Amino acid sequence: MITLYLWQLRWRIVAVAVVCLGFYLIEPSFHVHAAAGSADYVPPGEIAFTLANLAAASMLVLLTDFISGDRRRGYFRIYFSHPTRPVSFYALRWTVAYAVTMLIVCAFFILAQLAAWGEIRAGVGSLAQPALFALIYGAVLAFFSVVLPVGDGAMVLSIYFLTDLWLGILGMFEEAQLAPPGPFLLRQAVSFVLPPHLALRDAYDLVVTGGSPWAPVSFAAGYGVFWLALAGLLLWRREWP
Amino acid sequence: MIHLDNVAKEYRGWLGTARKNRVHALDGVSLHVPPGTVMGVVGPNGAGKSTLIKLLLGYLRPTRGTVRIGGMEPRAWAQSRGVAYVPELPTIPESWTVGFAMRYFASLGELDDPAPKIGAALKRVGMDGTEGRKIRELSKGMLQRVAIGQALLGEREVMVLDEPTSGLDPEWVAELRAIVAEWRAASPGRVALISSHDLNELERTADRVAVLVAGQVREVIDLRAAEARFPAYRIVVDSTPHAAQAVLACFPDAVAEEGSPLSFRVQPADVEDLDRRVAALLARGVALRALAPERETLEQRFREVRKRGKGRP
Repeated sequence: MITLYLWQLRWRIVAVAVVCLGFYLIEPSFHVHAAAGSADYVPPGEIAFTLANLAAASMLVLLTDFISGDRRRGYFRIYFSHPTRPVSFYALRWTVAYAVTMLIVCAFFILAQLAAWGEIRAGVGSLAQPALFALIYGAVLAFFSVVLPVGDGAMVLSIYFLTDLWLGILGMFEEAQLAPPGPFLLRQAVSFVLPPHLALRDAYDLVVTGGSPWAPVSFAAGYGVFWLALAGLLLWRREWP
Repeated sequence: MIHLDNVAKEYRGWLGTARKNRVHALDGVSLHVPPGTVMGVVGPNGAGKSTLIKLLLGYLRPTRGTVRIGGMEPRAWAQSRGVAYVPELPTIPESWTVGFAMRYFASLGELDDPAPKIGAALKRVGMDGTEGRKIRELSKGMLQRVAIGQALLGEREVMVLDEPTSGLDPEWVAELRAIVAEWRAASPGRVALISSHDLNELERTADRVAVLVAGQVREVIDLRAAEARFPAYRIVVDSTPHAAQAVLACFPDAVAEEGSPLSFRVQPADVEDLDRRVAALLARGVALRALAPERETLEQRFREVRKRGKGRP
């Protein structure tokens, strides 16, 4: 079955490869060669954030429409007349997409550094953020693919940009040492509901300063697991009219 | 094997509990399909046939009542044993090839050694040699045959066909009849449920037919019992004075055919009864021009049931 899924995903995987090339071209760290001999000159953390964004983009490309499309086009009718459980069927597809994403991220992690600097400068720890980002955005996408008949990918992309915008606004007020807009509880609620980008940055900062990153990592992972579990529950309960 | 007990299904809108927005697709449907039976389902558009099929596949849950296949909830049955299902509009991703689609469906069914089974299924539906063709390149009839082929992949005990002859040419309509006959002959307990507007075809395939009108089962017609029953006869007499009166005297239940006063439909109890009444008719000096058995078609029964049901909710 996994081989068949991979074959089904082949054009999407090609699309992710193109996205990889785009990420390589737009990530400034890969194009800093002035002090090629000094590893400190290029902050490896920046590569981790690029990898995280790549992982989210990959999940988006590989999984958009993966449940909603089957439902909208009626493919499920034949699929689930065979002895298979919808939750297991989509869980396997999600897992394959996650594994493919992490393989692509690992390949990009190695090849991009070798192409840029001829050596590996960032440590394996840089792969923790993409692993979490893929989990978070893959889970949110799974949720919207269950509840929406169309537009799950666009919804997740909007959430990504909304989160960036929200954090940018909060950061702007913080820099200007002004009180952020709106009541405190509302800001906390919005930050809690949106994907935990800050938790990932906190985790990275803690690693750099020698602290334990488990609290922010657990929060980010918990966020992803929550949406994934909710998607699974709704999928298990839903009717297929 | 299949039991529907007082099943109702209401469709409600998004958070819509307002009564006026509810659609009652099925209302109090009770149906029993014993092992070894091919059950047909007929009814006008909107009668609830598709809803009935979705309930049987576990894609919908009843609002009221219970649906069981082999004592199990339909989804549990489909997930553990599968259902040989051909949808009304077979939807298979268009970019797939026939071969990929069959491998995919075989994989979902967790078939051991699927290659020979795929080959046999494709051959049976006349699609061998088309493994490399894209689904989008297939005609409607060929797509229907691929859908029938995938339904034959596993050794299923329950078959559900939704308008299976749609898009098939007459040759393949006959072939489908043979396929269903072979399928049920392979195991005596197998059950098939066929929803169709093609009453002639259903008459040849099904043992019993449920007439569904406005979400309710109006009648279950036992076609095999009708076949076993002594048939009605059509008699035509020569135009002699008092011929019609003589027929009515010998066959009190005779019904004159519309526009043909010398042609009657009669229903004798058995062959002896027929012989006795015909002898009496001849003794009255009436000459018989024709005497032929007549079988009531499913279409006639269906019209009759619908006519009787008019005015009912």
